[in-house]
Amino acid sequence: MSSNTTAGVSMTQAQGCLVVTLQADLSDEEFAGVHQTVAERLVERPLNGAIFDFSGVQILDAYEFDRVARLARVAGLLGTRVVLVGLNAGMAAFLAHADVDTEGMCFCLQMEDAFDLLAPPENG
Amino acid sequence: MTSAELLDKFSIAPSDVENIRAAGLIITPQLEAFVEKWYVWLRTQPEYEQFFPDSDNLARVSRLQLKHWEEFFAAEVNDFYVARRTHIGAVHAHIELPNDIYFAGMGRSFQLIIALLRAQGVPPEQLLDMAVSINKLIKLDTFLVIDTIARIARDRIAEHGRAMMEMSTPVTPIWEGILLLPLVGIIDSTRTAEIMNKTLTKIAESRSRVFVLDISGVASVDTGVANQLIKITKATRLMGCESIISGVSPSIARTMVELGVSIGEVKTTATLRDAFELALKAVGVVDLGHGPRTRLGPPGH
Repeated sequence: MSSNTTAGVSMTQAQGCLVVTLQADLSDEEFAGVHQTVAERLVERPLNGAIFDFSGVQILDAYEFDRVARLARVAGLLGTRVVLVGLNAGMAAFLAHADVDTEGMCFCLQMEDAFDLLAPPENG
Repeated sequence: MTSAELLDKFSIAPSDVENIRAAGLIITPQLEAFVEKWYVWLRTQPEYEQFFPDSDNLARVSRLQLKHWEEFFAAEVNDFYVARRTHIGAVHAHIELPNDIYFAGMGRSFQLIIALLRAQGVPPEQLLDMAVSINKLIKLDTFLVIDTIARIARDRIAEHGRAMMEMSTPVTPIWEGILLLPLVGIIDSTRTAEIMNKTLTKIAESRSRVFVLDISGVASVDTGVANQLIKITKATRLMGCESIISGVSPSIARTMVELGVSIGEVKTTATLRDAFELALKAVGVVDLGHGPRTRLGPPGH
């Protein structure tokens, strides 16, 4: 398990997945930094997938969500499956009303489910 | 409203208070006779039998009546006075006293007061001033009582509405990781908002992975409602819970297609049975052998 922190996010590797813990209120520059770091990490070594953890975030607007969604699509293009974890009821209701684009994205309520989902199929 | 605001609203000036107290000096010694006269009138009313079936109750209420008029002629309109009048309203609301008998009773009291003052030889000019002032305070009393009755009625309706809403969205876990909401009746935007709230809260609580929304009991679906339902499924997906809309009747399916509602990635089935089967597959109870999710079966797989 290894981890490092850039402004606003901490990144940990666990069970072959990159776990990115997001925090609220990142500026565009800060998020660009996060984007860069995550993309580099994904290219560096093969991973089962990436998990974006929102459980520390209480408020998220549609713009911030779209930024993350774009990062998830970039990760998809780099061949890594992304699961978004821990959106609370209020954020889910708001994002559904705001009609954000979630096509092709994957969500889980708990970290455990995300690990299960991203685990490589068992042999035999 | 505070007592000072009430006095201002009903234009009860200090001079009115003086007039009422002056009238009080004349009436208070004869208050018992006055209340007795009032009950003589009440006995002639059909409501009397209904609300005063026994004499104990009558004695208690007439004592309260006496106290009421003592307070009235003291004309000390403060928070205590307002609270006492509000209490009368609450009692009337509780026994469901019809408004007509209450208004008639207050009117009768006013007539009796004026008759008493006249009989005591109050000069006409002073009598007129007293009548105007007393009338103002009676109006204030009546307002407080009726307002309380109305407020209690409104609260009751709101409470029923809430209870109805509560009953109309029974989001129930039917299996490890599966939630079911059978919708019945007419769906409007208030209800869809309630459904959204309850469903998402329940998902967070129960950590469910599949949500089955059964609309077989729903009479009709228009564009607005269909879009709201799609939004609910989208919100549940954001919380990692797949939605299945079941019980889509042929007519609803046709309406949705004709209205051009895009259902996106939402799974729909014609029967609840099919939806349940899909749900069980999704949580891994029915093992189809593909996809890592089938490994997530409940205990004892």
